[in-house]
Amino acid sequence: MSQKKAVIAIGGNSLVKDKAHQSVQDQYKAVNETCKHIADMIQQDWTVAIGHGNGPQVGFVLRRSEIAYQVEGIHEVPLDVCGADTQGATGYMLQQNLYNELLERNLDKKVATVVTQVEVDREDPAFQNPTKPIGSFMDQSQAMEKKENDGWSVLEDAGRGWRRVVPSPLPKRVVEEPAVKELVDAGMCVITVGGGGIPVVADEAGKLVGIAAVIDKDYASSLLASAINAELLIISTAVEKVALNFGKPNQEWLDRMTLEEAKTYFSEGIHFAKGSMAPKIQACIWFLERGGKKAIITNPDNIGRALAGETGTQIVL
Amino acid sequence: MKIVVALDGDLLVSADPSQGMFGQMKAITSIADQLGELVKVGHKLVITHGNAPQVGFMLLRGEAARHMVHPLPLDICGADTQGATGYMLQKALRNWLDHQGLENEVLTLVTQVIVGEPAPPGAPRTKGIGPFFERGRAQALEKSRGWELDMIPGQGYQRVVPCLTPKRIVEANSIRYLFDQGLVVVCAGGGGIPVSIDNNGDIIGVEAVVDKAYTAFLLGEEVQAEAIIFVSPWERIVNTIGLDLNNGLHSFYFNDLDALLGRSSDIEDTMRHKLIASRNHLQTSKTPVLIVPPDQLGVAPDRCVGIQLIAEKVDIEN
Repeated sequence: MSQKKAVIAIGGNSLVKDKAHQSVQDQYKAVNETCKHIADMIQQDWTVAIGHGNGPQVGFVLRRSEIAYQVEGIHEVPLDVCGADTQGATGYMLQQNLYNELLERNLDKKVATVVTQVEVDREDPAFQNPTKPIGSFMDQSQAMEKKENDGWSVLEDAGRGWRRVVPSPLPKRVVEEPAVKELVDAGMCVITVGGGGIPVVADEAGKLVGIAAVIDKDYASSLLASAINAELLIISTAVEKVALNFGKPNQEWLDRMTLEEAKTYFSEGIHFAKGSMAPKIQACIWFLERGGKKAIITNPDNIGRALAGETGTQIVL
Repeated sequence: MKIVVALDGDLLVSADPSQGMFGQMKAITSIADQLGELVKVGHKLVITHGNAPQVGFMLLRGEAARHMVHPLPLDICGADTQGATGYMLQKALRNWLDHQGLENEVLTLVTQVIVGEPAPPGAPRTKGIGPFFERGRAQALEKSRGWELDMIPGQGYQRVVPCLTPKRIVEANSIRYLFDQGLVVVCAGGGGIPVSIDNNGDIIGVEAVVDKAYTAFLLGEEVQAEAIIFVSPWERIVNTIGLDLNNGLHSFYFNDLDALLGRSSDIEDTMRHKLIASRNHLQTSKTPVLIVPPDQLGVAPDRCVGIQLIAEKVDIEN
């Protein structure tokens, strides 16, 4: 049976709308909305693997952990386990809502959440230059103590205090990829690489160990899309389309670009914001270079229309 | 042999709480060694596990941080622990297999179960969870969150939730599919995330705990397991049967189970659930049930020390 396979990477805005809507009920509602759009896609005969962000969720787990350690002396949760926690909880909310939505539409599709590790390279240069701030602000003495005792990298953040920073290495391999592929090939929708995957490295003996790092979820979704031979990668974000010269007077919305055009714009370095649109474009470029057919960047509401070619930014070979 | 292995949740944390997450990883690694031995000799495994201590930690953290971070309902706590424990188990087992040159894949699936009736007669129908509160805070929680709390002498007030039996595993198809493909599947942690079906036919989370012994048997039916192995600490097993564990498997037949349950009033709740669910299972199935200590798991089901629960010898004439 030939089937249309896609990977969709859903952004943090699909899970936590804003600071006033962080509770579990609010997250659940947001996920419910998002699942309607994913169901649109499934209704158009796509079998999808779903990757998702976990920035705010990991923040909540860490905050509880930090406070409980200070107040009650309860052991802290390391970052890899925080990631695993959020894969469980967010995966659950997604799979439950998607199950309900598919049932309502009489679509006979199964949904599964796979706890997913992503291997990164020990030699990745990101380890020499940790940049991702995580956890709460600390004063200088706390920061130095953590650096001394726990080996944290810490940075002073623009006069607001000290924060822990962790590296953001590139994903090298989705450890559970063969199983994810088997499930997708069997026609199931799979929720995977949550938060970019739980970061692990191989130690000297080849054993996988969890590490304190953050993997870009769009990079991980792109890698997964290639690994399972998906033809389409959709990156769902806050904007309907990608713009050239974003936020400037000569801003220009893009309906479509070729891989070559995308690479040119990307290398010009002025169009896409670092840490937001730039990695998404990069993720699409890598996917197309590795054999993908098409990538789309749009917002959740427009997924259905973008699939029909009516909106979004389509990146093609 | 196709086997469902159900691990008690306290085997996956360190007996010494000061060891924290390092202690958990160590405990999980030592269980993974045993699970690996089973895979190595060719058994096909579905692995499920308890999560009471893990959910306990989450609830303690949530309470300590309540002025700063939103609280978590029980279904989400369960989902969290499935993610974290599943991750640690699958990583440790994969590493063990890798070291042996075995290529079996290991995968954790987030698993929901549709809950039905309360635990059957004889089994505890409620469970105390989370931290102990002082009276004032307990009353406030009763009011604001609609909780039921019980006074535990000498400890304080603790939240009480129903313990419900699972009726159906929502992700049964995926579990069975992956198992049939030869994967080791870790699933239904804590007995599964408890959900029910609302008036619209939607599934929604439920504030309850699941009788996880029943989930092990449901999993057994799904994958047509040839043995169900519960793994419990030595002392818990010894206290249950009131005998030392010597050599081999100590057998109990269906009728012995009634006597065993009736005789002892101080069997721990988790063991009572196992025995009652097993009795229920043995009424209609001949699939044997084993209860073994963790260091015996690797040589189960044939060469281990522990207890086995088996159906009445069937009269061939009937």
